[in-house]
Order: sequence, then structure tokens, then C-alpha cells
Amino acid sequence: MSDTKESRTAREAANLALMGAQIALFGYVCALVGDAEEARDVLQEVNLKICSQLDAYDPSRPFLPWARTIAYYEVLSYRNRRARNRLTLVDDTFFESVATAAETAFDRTDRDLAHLDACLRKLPVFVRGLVEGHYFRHAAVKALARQHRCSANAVSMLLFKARRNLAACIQAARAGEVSP
Amino acid sequence: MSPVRTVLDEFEQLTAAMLDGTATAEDRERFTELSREYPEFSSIWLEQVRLHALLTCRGGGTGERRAGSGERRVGGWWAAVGSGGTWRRAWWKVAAAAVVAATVWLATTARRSEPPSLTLRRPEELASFAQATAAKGVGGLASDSRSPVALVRGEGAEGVALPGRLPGKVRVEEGLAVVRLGSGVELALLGPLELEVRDAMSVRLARGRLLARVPSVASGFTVRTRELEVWDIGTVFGVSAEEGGSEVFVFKGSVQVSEASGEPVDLCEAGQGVRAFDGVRPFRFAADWPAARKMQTLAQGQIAQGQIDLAFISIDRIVAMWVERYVPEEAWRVRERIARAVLAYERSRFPHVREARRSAGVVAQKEEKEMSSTRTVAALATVAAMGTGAAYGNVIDLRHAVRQEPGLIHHYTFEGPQVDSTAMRLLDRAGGVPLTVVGRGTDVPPVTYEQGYDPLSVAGAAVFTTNVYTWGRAWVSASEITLPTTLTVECVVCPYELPVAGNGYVVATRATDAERGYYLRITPDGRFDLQVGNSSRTIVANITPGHWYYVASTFSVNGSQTTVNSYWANLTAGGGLRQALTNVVATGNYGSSAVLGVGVLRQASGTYEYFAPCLIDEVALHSTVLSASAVNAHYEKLTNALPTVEYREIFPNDNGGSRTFPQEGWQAHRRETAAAGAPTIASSSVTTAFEESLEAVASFPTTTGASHGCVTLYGDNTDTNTPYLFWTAEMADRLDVGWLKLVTFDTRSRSARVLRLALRIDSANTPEDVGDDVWYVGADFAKVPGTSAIPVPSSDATWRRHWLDVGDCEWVPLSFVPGSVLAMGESQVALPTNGLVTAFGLYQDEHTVAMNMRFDNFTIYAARVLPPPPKRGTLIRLQ
Repeated sequence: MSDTKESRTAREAANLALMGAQIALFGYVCALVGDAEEARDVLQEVNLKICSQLDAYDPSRPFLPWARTIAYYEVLSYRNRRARNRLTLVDDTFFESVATAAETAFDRTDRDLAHLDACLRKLPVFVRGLVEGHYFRHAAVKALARQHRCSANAVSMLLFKARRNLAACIQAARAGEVSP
Repeated sequence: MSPVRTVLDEFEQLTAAMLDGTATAEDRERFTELSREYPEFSSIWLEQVRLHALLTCRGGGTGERRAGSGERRVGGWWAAVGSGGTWRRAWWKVAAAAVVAATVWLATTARRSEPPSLTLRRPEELASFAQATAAKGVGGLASDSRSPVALVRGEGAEGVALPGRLPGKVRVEEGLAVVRLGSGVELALLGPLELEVRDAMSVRLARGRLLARVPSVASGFTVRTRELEVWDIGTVFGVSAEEGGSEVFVFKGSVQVSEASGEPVDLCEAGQGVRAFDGVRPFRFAADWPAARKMQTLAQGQIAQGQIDLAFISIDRIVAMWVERYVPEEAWRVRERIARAVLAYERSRFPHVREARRSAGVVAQKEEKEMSSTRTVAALATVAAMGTGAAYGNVIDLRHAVRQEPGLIHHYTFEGPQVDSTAMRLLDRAGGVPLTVVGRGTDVPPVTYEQGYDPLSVAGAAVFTTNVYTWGRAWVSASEITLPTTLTVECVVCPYELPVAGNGYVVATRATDAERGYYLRITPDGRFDLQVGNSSRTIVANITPGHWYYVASTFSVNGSQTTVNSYWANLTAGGGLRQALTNVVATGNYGSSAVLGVGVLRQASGTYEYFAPCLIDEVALHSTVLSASAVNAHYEKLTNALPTVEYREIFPNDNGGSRTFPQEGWQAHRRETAAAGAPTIASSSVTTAFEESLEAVASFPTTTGASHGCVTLYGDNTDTNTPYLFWTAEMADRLDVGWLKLVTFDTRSRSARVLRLALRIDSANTPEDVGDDVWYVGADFAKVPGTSAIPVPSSDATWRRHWLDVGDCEWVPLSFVPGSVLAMGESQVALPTNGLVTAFGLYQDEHTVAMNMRFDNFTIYAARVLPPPPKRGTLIRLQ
């Protein structure tokens, strides 16, 4: 595409779409990579790849599926680069199962975010404090464990249950069944 | 704790460690092992990652790696790891813009998600609100300081707007608001509603439902809708208006109803109403048959208790019953309205039900204590009962339609005798591979058989153990079934709660590790889904525990790919059949043969896992891909009117001692010569009867409550394998053979016998002449034994109730002339499709003296096909 005013406009639109898709892409990559730290690295490579291919994007089609396809292949590339014993989702069946389900799991992250705060308020105070401490104030799990005089494993499981509870709450809120 | 439960615990712990950044190398290795062994855990992983991503974003990122610790510390969400390069700098630009965009988005979302500005729940709030709306001009309606429409009270009312002067508009967005006009008329307004108050004696209902209480001084109060005008003569009545029609129903007093044009429809009194659909002339209906009268009584009680929303649902049911019979093409409209009303009721009264279910097992202990499980279950039961009602829901017709499909290969219905005849319940009604009960775990109770989707159907209730997905009890096919490359799986199912520790498998096979045939599953996050090979797909995103669903999926295997279509309908909430998956191509297939699990997954290794918390009414497998129209036709059967009791003989005895036949309008004949037989109506001093106090219907005598009588046949010394026919001509000429749906009766027999339904049919339209009538009795030919000829097990102590689907019976002629001949034919014949039933009864193949055969409560259910809707103003009574 020549660098015309029209093409610049298309690229700007695609850039905006890419910004809006970051949460969904991070979730998708994280689900497939299996490691939050590694996922951040892979996501940056995904973003680079997308930026390099923005000219090939057809603005008349949804952005996220297109970007997700690039992300999928980037994750496959990541898997090939890594020795299998360094992969989290080593099992191909499990990986494919997650990949299939993840195709739609992150389609509504913008609306889910809208429900998240209200759902957070419904958590028990102690659990909510852990969630906010870990995710909002970026406290390490071990630090939270020391602070609350419990094991890191206990904190970790409480965070797990909090996430599950939040997922249920958001799911209900999505359907308009329960006001969050 | 069970070993496998420990595995799930372990997987959850590993998932948590992985996401929290505390996983060790050993943890990763173990995670890999478990993910390989339990691919079903992928849903747990995905759910956690999704929330991890949301929270990370919400918190602005978890930052950089902490040196040596494997953890991260505070930092930017988009912080690059390692040294910067060209692409990373480019990324920073995108990232910065993304943060700005997200901030803007969050701000706008926050504005969008602000709660409604007015939430009125307490009387004092409502009272002050009435003044406030008048003063502030809420909704642009009020301009005076006082509203001529006084707000009396409200329940969950939101978005209430009152006019400052008349004429003016009243709006209620949600909930119930009660207002009073200057004339003394009190209006209970159920939102969403829009009402124009023209003056104190006249309103126009544009949308919504209202209940008017009109004092005698306000006689002449008028309610108009787009289609109707209701002129009151001192009464209590309800009016509904919606897109496509409106409706009036009178609880007390009377109203004159006219069309909007002014042309009179009729005068309606208590228990009567008028319904107007678009394009159909208004017609009058009446709650003058037993079920409708009961519903009307119920509605009046609900009004007395202030449960206006429930009262309207009750009225809807009356209308639904009536419309199902007379204007079936409009039935969907009523059903949808009921569904909306039920959902609104559910949302207003049980806002936490679904959330409680979904959160079960994962909420903190304190929260669990706050949520009374008993209350939750009761709430669900209430909602489910409201949704199903008794007006429609016809599993009998579905079964019949399913059995007409040439490709039917397996059909499990759980119908059968009421007591200890599991073998009958577990029969495969099509393919000869019965089910068998399997269980796993400690102290797991037995499966039960309970009322299905409608009161005339039986469902199997699988046993499920919260948090332990390897414990439970359900059914599997007694042997492997062949899995054709084209397959349709239909199911009528009601999840009674959501599983917690993994999916619940409603219908499933697993031929090998890779060949998964998970035709219907309930997921912990409240979905119906399926999986073929490696590919899972959602069928229903948000299921409601306590609701009945019809789900059908078709599969077409082509090598390593399977094309899938799925259809579903929420039978309780209504809304019709929807197609969830259309020609979706899944990777993998379900293999060629496997043991079928119903309510459980039988792994390829042979272990049973993932018991499903559900009632299962019907499961049918076809070796063909049913078309969308065929599936829809099956679904439509479930919306047919429920058959009603047209005849029931309860054989009362009145404690008057045993009485020899003929009695109660019934006769008995025996032997090949059809000599008069001599069974008796037994007294309670001689024997027991089926212990249920049922109402006699169209039989003699009509005394109710005499539940202790039954027919007992002892026989005489000449009876050795002697055939008997018990029959009656009661109800003669009053039933069309095409209306017959179901016959039930109760037995208790000292020896194993066979009983058959006997019908005498007049096909010549000469009801006064029974000489040309023909007798038929049920006989098993191509269908599963027991479908037509009912086996009665030997038991001298146990009463059983038997069900016979008349539409599925196979028949032979019966030569019967009293005093002359009684002989059952051998060749199968078809039952006439037209004709009147002039007599009916039970035929017993053999009887031997002292081998007492007892039966009771002979009941015929039928669904009348009645003439088209009456002309305007004509009152039709159902009986």
C-alpha cells in the first residue's frame, strides 16, 4: 500500500484497533503459553508482528480474529523455539483444547472489565484485600503471606478461588441475571 | 477425600502457582502431567487465565521480574523485558496509546454502567418520590408541585415517573408501583409500563400490565388499549397491553368490553376475559374448566396477598391453556410473555439464585453460610414449577414423534411401572441395549425416578456429589453401542444445579482416549457444551438450574473431522428453538463403538467419572442427521397441550363389602366363550388398594376420596390360564380415537401376567349401533416387548402404576361377543385413525384361580383437537 492519506488513515485505525485488543490478546497468549511472564514477552512479539502486517489488514473485517490468528502462530513459533521441557502447556491435546476454547473466551474483555469492579466489591473483605494487594499494589504472593502470617500456598489458593468467584460473577452479570 | 479429588486440588494449586509466579520446575512438570491426563481441566485453566488477564489489566500490570525470586515487582503493564531495541520502542508508542485508550474506555464504561438514578423500595421512599417527581419534573412529565396520581406503595419499583397534571403519562420501568387516582380507583402497575392518565376516570395503557380496583363510586372507569376498551361496572380486573395484542381478565364484578372502534365484544364476569391479537377478532374466554378454575382461584389468592406479578402469570396460564386449544398459532406469543414474566419474577425475587449456584463450592465459608442452600433450592423449585405449569409440555407426543423416525437406534425414556421395576424403566425402546445403573463412591444414594418435564412423564435423576466428580450414580448402556458416522442425539434435561469439580456429562461416549463423543455436558460455569474429538463448543451460554431444556445435536463424521449442528430450547422459560451451532467442523471424531453414558462419562479405561447433576427425561439417538425442520418438529411436540384426564374409574367400595361384577359400570367376560366373569370390587377388609386419593372422572359413581376399593379377581376352580376381559362402556361415544394419548392403571398380582389395553371403536359413525364396532387389543410385534402388552410382575404385596403410550401401541383385533366368543387375533392391524371409542378396558391373557389379579384407577388421558376459534362474543366452554 502506498503511503497515501488513505493508507495512513487505515493504519491509524488499525493501530487503534490493536490498542483496544491488547487485553484480549494478552489473555489469549497467556492461556496458550501458560506462563504469565513468558506471555508478556510473546505478546510483544505478537504486537511487533501485527504492526509489521498492518498494511495487510482488511479494515472491513473484525480486527480481533485477525490479530488472534497472528498471535496463535506466534505462540506456535514460541513453542518450537523453546525446548519442550520449558513449556507449560506441553501436552498437544491440552494445548489444542485451550486454543479452541480461547478463541472466544476473550472476545468480551471490554465488557467484562466493566463488571469487574462491582464483582470485586462482592468478594469477602479479606479476599478482596489479597486480590487488590497482589494485582493493584503488585505485592508478591510471598509478601502477602508474610503480611497475613499464612503460607504462600494458602494465599495462592485464595487468589485462585477469588478469580473463580469473579468469573462466576462476571458471567452472571454478562447475562444480565444479577446486577454486579 | 478421594484420590481423584486430590488430583483436582493439585491441578488447581498448580494453576494458581503458575499464574502467581511461584511455580517451581517440578510444579511445571506436574502440571504438564496432569494436563495430559485430564484434558478436561483446560476449562479451569482458561477461566483462571481470563480473570488473571482482566485483573492484571485492571491493576495496571504486575511489573518486572524480581531478580532471583522469579516474581515481579511494581512496574508498567507494558514494560519491555531486557534491553530496548527498535521494535520495543515501536511497541512503547502503541502501548502508551493503548493505556490512554483504555482509560477513555473505562471512563465511558463507568458512565454507562451507572445504576438507575431512582430505586424505590420502601413506602416512605415512594411517598417522597411522588412529591419529588412532581416537583422536579422527572422524565419531563411533571410541571406542577403536586401529582394528581398518588403513589401508594411499590415493590422493587424503579424508574417510576408520575405526571404533574392531567392528562399525563405514568411510567414504571421495573417492579410494581401502586397508584391511586382522584376517583378512588387504585391501579397496581407492573413494569415495564406506559400509561396515559387522561382523567380520574379514564386511562390508556400503551404497554405493560395493570390491575384495577374500582370502587362502586367510580363505576364507569375506562381502560383503553390499542385494541380494546374496557368499561368497568364496579370490579377488580386486569389489563395487559403489548405489541401484538391486549387482554382483559375479570376477577370480581363485571366489565363491558368493546373493540377500540367501539363495536361491543361482550360483557365479561368474574373468571372471564377477552383476548385481542393483531389480525384476529377479539374473542372471549372463560376459566370454566377445572384446571383453569384452580388457576383463577390461585390468582385471586395472589392478588389478596399483593402478589400481583404472580397473579398475572396465573392469568397467562389460563390464557395459554385456552389459546393452545383454540388459537394455537398465537400460542407462542403467550408462552413468550409467560417466559418474560417468570424471568422478571425470578430476577426480582431471587436475584442471587444463579450466582449462588455458580459460586457454590468456591465462595468463602462465610459467604456460604450467608447463602441458605435450602432457600436456594426452594426458590429454584418455585421458579421451575412456575415455568412448567400444567398448561403444556407434552413428552408423550415427543416420544411418539421420535419413534416415527426411521433412523432411531436407541431411545431411553425412563417410563415404567412406579415401583421396583427398574428393568422396564431402563429399557431401550428402540435398539435393544438397555441401560444399567452404575455408581462410584461411598454412601452414594440410589438414582431416583421423578416427574419429568411434564406431569405425565418420568425422568431419571442422576446422583451427583459436590466437589467430588468421581462420586455419584447414573446409567450406562449394558454393552457397547455402535456409533454411526451420521448421528443425532436428542435430550430433554433439567440441570438441578451446576457441577463444581469438572463438567457433568449428560450423554457421552469415549471410545478411546482421543475419540471423545461428549454429546451434551453441563459445565461448572453454567453452560451446555459438547466435544467431539479434541474440539469443544458451547451450545447454551447461560443455563438456569431448575429449568428444563431440549437439546439436539447432529454429527456427521468425515475421517478426522466431524460436522456438528446443535439446537436448543429452554422449555421452562420459552422462547422457541434456537440453532447454536451451524455446520461447525470439529477436529476428531467419536469412534465407531463405545459404552453410552447417561448422566456420567464412562472413560475409555472403563472408569466412571463426572456425574451430572440433572434430571434426564428423554434420550434418543438416531443413525441419521436430522434436519433442522425435523428437530423443530420434535421440539414443537413439547409445546403441545398437555393431555388431560378424560376418564378415571377409581372403583370405590364405600366400605360396603365386596361386590361382584358387573359393578361401577364395568363388566368382565372370560374363556373363549366369553362367559360372564366374577371379579369383585374388594373392600378394604379384604385387600388393599393403590393408596392414592384420586378424583373419579366421567365414571360411576362420582364419589371422590374413596381410595380403598379396587378390582380383585380370585377366579373359580375352572380358571386355568383363562383369558379375561374387563371392560366398560362408560364414556361411550365421547372420545375420538385420535385424541387418546395415555392410559394408566395400577396393579397388584400374585403371579406374573400380561395386561393389554382393549378398545372398541366405531368407525362407521353409527354410535347407536355397537354391532359394527370393532375391538382391538395391544400386542407387541416390532417394538420392544412391554410397549403394547404390559407385563405385570408377580408380587402379592406391591402395587405398581403402569403407563401405556397409546400412540405407540401395536394392535391385533379382538373377537368378542358376550356369551359367544372371546379370542385375540394373531395378525397385526392398524388402529383406525378416525372413530369414536365406544368401550374400553383391560384384557388379561391368562388367569388361574387363587392367583389374584388386582387393578385400580384406570385412567385415560387425551388431548382434544377442537374446532377453530369461535366468532367474537361467543363463549366457548370446554366441557
